[in-house]
Amino acid sequence: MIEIKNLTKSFNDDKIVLENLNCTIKDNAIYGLVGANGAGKSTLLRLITSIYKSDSGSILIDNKEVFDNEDIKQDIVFVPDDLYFYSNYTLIDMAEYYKSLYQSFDMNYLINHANTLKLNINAKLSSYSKGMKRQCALLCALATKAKYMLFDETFDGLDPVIRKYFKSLLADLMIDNKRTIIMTSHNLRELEDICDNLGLLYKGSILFESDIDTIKTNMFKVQVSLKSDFNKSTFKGLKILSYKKIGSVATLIINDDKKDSRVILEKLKPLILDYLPLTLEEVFIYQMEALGYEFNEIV
Amino acid sequence: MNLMKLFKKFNIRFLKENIKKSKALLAFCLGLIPLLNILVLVTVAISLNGIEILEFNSLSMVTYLGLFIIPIVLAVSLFGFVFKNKSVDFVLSKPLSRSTIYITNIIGGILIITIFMLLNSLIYIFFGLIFSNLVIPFSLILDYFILYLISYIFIFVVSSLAISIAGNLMGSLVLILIIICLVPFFKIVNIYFISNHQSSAYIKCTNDNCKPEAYNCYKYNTCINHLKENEYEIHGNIIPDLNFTAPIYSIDSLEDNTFYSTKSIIKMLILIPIYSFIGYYLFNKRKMENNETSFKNSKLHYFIKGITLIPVSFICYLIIKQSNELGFIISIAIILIYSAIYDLITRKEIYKLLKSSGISLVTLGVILGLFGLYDIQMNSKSYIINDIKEIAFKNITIKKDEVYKLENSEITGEDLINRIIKETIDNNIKEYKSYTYLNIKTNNKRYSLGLDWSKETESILKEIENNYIKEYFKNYDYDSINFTGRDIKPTKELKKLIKNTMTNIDNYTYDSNDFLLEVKTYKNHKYETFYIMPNIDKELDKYVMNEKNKKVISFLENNNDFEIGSITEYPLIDYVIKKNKTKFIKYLENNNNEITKNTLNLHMYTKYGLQVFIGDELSFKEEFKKYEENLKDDEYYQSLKSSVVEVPTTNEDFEEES
Repeated sequence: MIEIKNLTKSFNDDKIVLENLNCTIKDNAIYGLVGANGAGKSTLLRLITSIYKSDSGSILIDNKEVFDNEDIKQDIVFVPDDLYFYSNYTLIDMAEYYKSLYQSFDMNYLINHANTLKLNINAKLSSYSKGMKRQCALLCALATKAKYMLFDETFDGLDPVIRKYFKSLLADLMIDNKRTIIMTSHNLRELEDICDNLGLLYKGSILFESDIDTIKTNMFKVQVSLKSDFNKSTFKGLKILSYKKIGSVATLIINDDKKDSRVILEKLKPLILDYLPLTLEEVFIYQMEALGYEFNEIV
Repeated sequence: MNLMKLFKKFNIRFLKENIKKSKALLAFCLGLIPLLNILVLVTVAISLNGIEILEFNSLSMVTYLGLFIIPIVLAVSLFGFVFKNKSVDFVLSKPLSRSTIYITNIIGGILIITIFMLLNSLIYIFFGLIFSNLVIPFSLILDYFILYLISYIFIFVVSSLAISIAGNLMGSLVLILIIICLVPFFKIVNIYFISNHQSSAYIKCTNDNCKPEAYNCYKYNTCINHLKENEYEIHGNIIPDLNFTAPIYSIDSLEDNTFYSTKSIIKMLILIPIYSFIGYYLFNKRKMENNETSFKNSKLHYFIKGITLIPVSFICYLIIKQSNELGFIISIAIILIYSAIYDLITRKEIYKLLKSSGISLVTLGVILGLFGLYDIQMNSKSYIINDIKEIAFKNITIKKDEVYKLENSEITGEDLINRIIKETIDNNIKEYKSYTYLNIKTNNKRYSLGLDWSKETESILKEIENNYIKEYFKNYDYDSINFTGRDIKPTKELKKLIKNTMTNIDNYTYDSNDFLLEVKTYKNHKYETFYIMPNIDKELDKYVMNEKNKKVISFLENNNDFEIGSITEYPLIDYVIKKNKTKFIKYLENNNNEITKNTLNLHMYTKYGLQVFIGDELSFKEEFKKYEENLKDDEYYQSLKSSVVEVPTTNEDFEEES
């Protein structure tokens, strides 16, 4: 488990990037971190991997301070947004490099998947396209079988087929090998179908976080119409995040148990009662609105 | 953290990968010096004119030049990842702590340098073994190995420290220059001020043995005040300590034609762990987000720039001293241009132009003020020389042009030192004639002392000769002799003969026409040289003659392109001997063992210049007559006989005439 407590990081003593950030990332899950440019997503990942040193606060992994801790770092692998490879290195050279540093590196895993992806392991990485380089970086990282895998803008530059392929690899690793994966993205849709948990980073702190199943089972868009005239107060007893009425039809965003809310609404003998699924983006928009933020400002 | 724990941080796998990524660059840089060394040695070896002895500096010149490149390239290869965000992410996200990275790179760098230096040393040993005429003493190679191993490690550690602080390569280079050059710069500036002001120097003498017989202050108050303290004015000045670290080394040592300086080595040995530890601390504390721009922190930027302004300001100070108002304007222009160039190099922009220029000008003002104050202070400076431990005759050849000469003699006897002091103080009030300068060493300082050449001085030198030189030759390690001339190998037999000769040289009169044997031994990190005439001792002379004649015989057997003669009978002797070459060779082989007063020295004018020693002139004349008998009917011989011309005395003269 990764526990982040009161984490603060500033650059050049004045530009505060993260301020008193608190967050807990459970094991064996895929945690998605979203936020606008400059929100501090990459900085947070660099602090977790102890590339940067925090100004204050702590990052504990399995109850141990992570900074400069080689034993803990053996369990962490990080693929940054801006990839770096040694010049003249091939994929197999890079794999050898990772193997020399990660005790549990699985060379067969890398070679097998490289063959599937039609990556020539003996070709120089400098001759590869951006997407192929990302595939190589991801394969090297996945082959480490590290307990915690951190990916910054994970699928940037990958085509949809390859994205799907890597998503399935990540899911397999999480399920079969009990790995914890943290990934950042600007794009909520990117993370929606793979993440278990989501955190929204805004101005240096986690504004909102929740697990997707809970969000999806407790948040609904309901379209309802009653015989008599009605307003928001008619739906007392429901946790309404958003209420909009156009003509005789109201659209409610309810943060409640589906069964309980349906019992309450059916008691009102509605003319129309439709439960519609929410996209993750909508969930975030309504949650943020409930907290008093304009979502467009955040993501 | 104790030392063992630190060493446990060494990660060989990381080192291997770190080297592997820059293998081409490292192989080029580390291979370049050995290759150039081989090239130089091959060039020297194939152009040998006889036995050659390699000097420390000529042996190590390529390695010395490499000192400015190799350790810096090595440090950049190992630590350079800190200059880019991408590479910082890549390396530091791996299961490596900062201390592991630093310690692995430092130990790895030291190992690479050690292998590199061993390779170079082995090349010298190899060449010394293969080319018997190329003398490279093992102790010289050992000195080379020690000095350059430590120097390369020192520059590597300094570079690693600089990289730990700076954000980019340019910033690191600026810091390396500051760390290496700042102290020598101040010392050299100090020399400038010392040499510009003839400071008064006083020698303290409380012992009766050194008090002068005649010393007068001529009512000169300062002198009288010093006299009350038993301090006597002398003609001398302080010698600054100029034993710097690599790559500047010691200016003093250069006088001995060697970069080797024990003091420099000790300094580096002390500084290497200190700089390594500071580098370790700073690397662990480094903000890894600070890269690509040098010294992001503006205060640090101005501070480093301020330090680099010191030498520029010194140049401005010299300009202002020379040309006053115009100098000020030129100086301001220099500083502003420098300030802009510095910003462009280190930050790729002119950083806050007005503020930056203002700070640079204020820095200039402060530094100029400090130089000015120091200049004024030096005017009234006087040195008191106390408790002299040693006097060195740096530039005197004892018994100049006589049986032997010895340079750089050091005298430590208390009585002798007192006599020299007394002589110096006495002479100081006499009329100045020609000075010889002595180096005086006290507990912690050195001075240059002007000693007037007088009868007493000569008597002191005679005493030195009697007591010191004889002792010197008695204790000389003759087995270690490396060189005995270009055409005589220093065999065991020869060394023994030299030993016998040098321990008994009392009754000898010098004759300037005689041949001198140059004897060199690599000792105390430099060549100690003395010259002797072989004819001091019959056995030695015979040996040297035979060895030289063997060379001549070998040459004559294989060549006809030579000229031979004596001072007066050049063309005749040459012609007659050439016509009777086989007989002459036979004569040299069989009849040249007797040494008499009539030893004849013939010169052979070949490409290299050989000497033929004829043991007995009378016997040779008999032999020569036989050769002449064979040429009775030779017309050319007859014409030569009728017009004998004077022959040149040296090879150079001969070449000119040719």
